[in-house]
Amino acid sequence: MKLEEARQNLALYALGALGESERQEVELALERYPELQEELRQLQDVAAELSLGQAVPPPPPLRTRVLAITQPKPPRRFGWGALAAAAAMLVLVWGGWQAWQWGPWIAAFGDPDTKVITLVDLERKPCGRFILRQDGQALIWIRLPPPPSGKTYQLWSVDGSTHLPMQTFEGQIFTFAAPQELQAIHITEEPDGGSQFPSVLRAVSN
Amino acid sequence: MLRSFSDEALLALVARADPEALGVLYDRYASAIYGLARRMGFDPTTQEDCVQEVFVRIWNKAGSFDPKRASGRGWLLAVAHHYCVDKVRNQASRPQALSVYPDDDNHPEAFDLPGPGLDEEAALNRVRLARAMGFLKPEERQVLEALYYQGYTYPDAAQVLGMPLGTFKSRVQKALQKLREVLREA
Repeated sequence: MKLEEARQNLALYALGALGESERQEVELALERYPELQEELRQLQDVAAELSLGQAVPPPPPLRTRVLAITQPKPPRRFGWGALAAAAAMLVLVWGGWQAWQWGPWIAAFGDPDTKVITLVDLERKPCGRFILRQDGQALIWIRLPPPPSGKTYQLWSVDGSTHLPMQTFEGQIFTFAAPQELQAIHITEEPDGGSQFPSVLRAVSN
Repeated sequence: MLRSFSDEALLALVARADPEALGVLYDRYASAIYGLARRMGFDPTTQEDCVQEVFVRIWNKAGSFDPKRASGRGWLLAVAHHYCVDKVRNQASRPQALSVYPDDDNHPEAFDLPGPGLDEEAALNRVRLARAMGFLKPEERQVLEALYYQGYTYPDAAQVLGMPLGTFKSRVQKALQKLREVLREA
């Protein structure tokens, strides 16, 4: 889509009047011609006025119903079948010679006191698991794209609003000793070697 | 404390799963979303469902908000409008949108005065938009009505209004530009 054609379609885009394929074409054009972005921003603000000017208060109980979506879901209970399958897979993937290393983890899967917490990315899509054994040993399995050149991923122990820097890591699976004060974990993207303060958040424990 | 935060800052917090930030955004925009769904002709149950589903989308998609590309308000209400438009287009029987025009007696409730539950800012927004729409020519209001409140795609709207596509597109551009100028001066 050429610049002028894209410009002519901006008003239709802002009003939600394009079909899916044309919408995508405009979005590609916005990448190609960044000068259109400010124009679109202004048109979208006008379109927003078409909604703001219709405001009617909803019934008060709706607020509670809507905000219930933010409540954490109860921890998922793993069935023994799934746990056994996960354990078997671990053994297979890592090879028999490493099985002794994972023995305690395999046993931990059957321990009801082992915590299994989902890690989610910034779109709140599950991207891994954080498994915490009763003895404080922790295992993380996470699926993230390789960090950009000169960057690494870093783990943080989060206690309230305090971020405690922990190790940097590569790969998808690793173990570590969890600090006692650990309440949640964050994973960030940092310059090589890690940081003392978090930079770019990539995943959080749910 | 979060009440003083900008929409953009609140969206950044929502992206980090902050429920209080979502609550503040609800207080700012639920009325507009509910009113939009009402204006598009949905029944009261569906109006509430629209608000609920839009906030689910905001909760799940706040991480994709890019403040370089849109204002927080523009993004939030675009999410809401896209949801309502998709719902209109997927309904077997298209709901009858209410009218926005003060001289239209068919749906007087569409231009009713703010009720007791409407806060001052929302009431001002209503009056401001109604006045601004009054500056547009009837045929300019008509194209905005067909696209924004009735949820037609532009080829369908052009057909419904019996206009050639080129004429329709240029009329939409003019109408939105004019509305922008009038609102800026209001």
